[in-house]
Amino acid sequence: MDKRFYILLGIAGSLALLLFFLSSRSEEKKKVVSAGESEEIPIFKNSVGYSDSMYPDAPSPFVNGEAEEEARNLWPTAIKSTKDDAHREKVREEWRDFASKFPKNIYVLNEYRAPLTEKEVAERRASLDTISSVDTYFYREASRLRYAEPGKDPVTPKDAGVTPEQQRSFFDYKIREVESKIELIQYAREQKGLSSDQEKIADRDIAQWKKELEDLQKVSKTVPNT
Amino acid sequence: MIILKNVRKILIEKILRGNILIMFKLLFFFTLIGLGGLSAQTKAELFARPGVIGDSLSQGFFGVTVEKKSQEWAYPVLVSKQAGSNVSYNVLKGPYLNFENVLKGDCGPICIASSIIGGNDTTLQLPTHAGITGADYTSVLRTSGKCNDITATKQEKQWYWATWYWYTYRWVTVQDCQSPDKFHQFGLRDSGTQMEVMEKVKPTFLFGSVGANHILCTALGTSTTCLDEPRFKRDIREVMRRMAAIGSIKGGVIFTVPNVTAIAYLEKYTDPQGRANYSGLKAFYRSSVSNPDEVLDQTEVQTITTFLTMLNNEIKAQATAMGFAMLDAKVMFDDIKENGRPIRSSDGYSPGNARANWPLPNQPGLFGLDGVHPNMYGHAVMANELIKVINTKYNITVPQVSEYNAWYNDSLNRNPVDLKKFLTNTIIGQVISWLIGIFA
Repeated sequence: MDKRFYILLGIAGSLALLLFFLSSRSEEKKKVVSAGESEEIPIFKNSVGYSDSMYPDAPSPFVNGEAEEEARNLWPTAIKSTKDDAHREKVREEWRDFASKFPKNIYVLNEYRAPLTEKEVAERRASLDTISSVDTYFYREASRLRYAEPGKDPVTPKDAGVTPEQQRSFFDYKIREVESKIELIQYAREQKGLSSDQEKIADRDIAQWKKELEDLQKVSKTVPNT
Repeated sequence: MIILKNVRKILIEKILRGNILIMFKLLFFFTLIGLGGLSAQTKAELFARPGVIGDSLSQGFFGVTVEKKSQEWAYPVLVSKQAGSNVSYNVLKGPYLNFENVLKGDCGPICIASSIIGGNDTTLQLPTHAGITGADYTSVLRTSGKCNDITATKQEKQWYWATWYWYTYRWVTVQDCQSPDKFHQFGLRDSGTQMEVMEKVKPTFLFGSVGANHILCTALGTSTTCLDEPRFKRDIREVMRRMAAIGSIKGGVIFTVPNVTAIAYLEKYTDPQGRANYSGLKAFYRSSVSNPDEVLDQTEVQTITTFLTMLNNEIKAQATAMGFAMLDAKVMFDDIKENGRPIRSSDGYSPGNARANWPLPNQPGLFGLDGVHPNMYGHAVMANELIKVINTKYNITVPQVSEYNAWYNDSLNRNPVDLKKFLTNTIIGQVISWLIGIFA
């Protein structure tokens, strides 16, 4: 009887050891490096705002065949999507051409425009503040009314919520934005950059944007001067 | 004789002891085999036909679009593949743009135009993954690929012969079908609402998290006006009631919503003039605050916290009622926010702990450039946390994704972008407007 007890004790011990081994392995995986380890705020040293040479010493997981198989199974498009210099040069050429045709288009990146003065930088930041503020205000209102009771008319707010100056700036930006989208699509069409299914969607989108543009131009004229 | 008897006794005991040992060994062995067999069967049964309802997280929205690459790395796709199964979905090529590619010079005007228009790369008659960017439990029930609200009606004149001499009209109620946003159009197409898709798919396992947009609107709109507890409770309960009625679901997973006031989209702001309602949390791209509506002040943060607790309690209750695995993503996110997430290769190399932000040089991150949605690495982390709770709940062994592999192959982590350097580009205003339009 005693011996059986010891045998059972032995098995229980072995199981406990096995469990301990497994849990210590998962603990190992969960081990968290303390938060303060990399507190330094990193700074981008180049002017383009992104880094192409980070972590040169990071070992490729693909030395292990299983990891390569995992990546091919889980992220097939992502691992193939690395763009080369030739592609980037083609894109730069495209931008230069587009920027020369549509210099005021809001989608044109700063690097394809004349460098900004300090005053222009400040104006751009102030403009971003205003546009995003007014945009947020209107989307917030739309969100509040999204599930309004059917048949119930919304109440016109007593206060505008935005100043005429903000609203004018907002409309100016929105008009430029809609015009910019139309220019982009037309440019892509000229360059045969849209697939046949996208051509139909583009027709609908442009018709809708032109209507939106008309509405914006009309309502922007009603903004009071003061 | 006595000696012989003793030898016999010792031999019998040894044999008996040996038999007991062998018996236990066999018992242990067969138990393991049995458990393994049971696990395999349960895993195969559970994941025979996974189905997904969800929002931008499940669809793979990534700074600031949905495309094939990002759809592949979304958590339901990863978890299903790890479980030896798969989900199917309509593959999108937009709408809108991959901001990382634009800023890195990989996407020019033609590429931007194409992705603004959007469309489908490939389509299906009935996807098993119906998660759509911007969705919540209300739109799961109401928004199809064709109609923004399938329950919306309008009055219409119906002309008819009232008598043989009088052709007249009567008012009838008809469906008011207005086009939904492009994510719904391209994501669901002709297959119905997310709920209807699941009723047709009859999944065996459900990814059922669509709670985030019931509260994320507060962060992107810096306002609490979008919070609607009755609507949230009514619709999550209705979704789960209909899911239970399908009869095919053997299990599922759901997660709580992280603290939306702690996302990278928001940063602390203190009014230089010390005004309390001008101080709090502002959008990261704002240089100043000129209106109390542009910040979430302390009172609003408290309102959001209270709402979040209610929302997460309801999600937990639904998980229990449905017998689903439940990941407390709020706890997980809080932990990452506090401690970071270690990244380590099998041979011990570490690029450092990942933070709850978009990546910066020598500072890996889990999020994309909008500060709201996970990047490829972030989705791998999310998938692993879900796998853990699924394994525990159903006593199965779905293998984890290698987080180092995900980090290593994540272009944004490997080549980070300093978004704040681009804030003077006029395109930023439109990118933000687009983001707010979907999620505020």
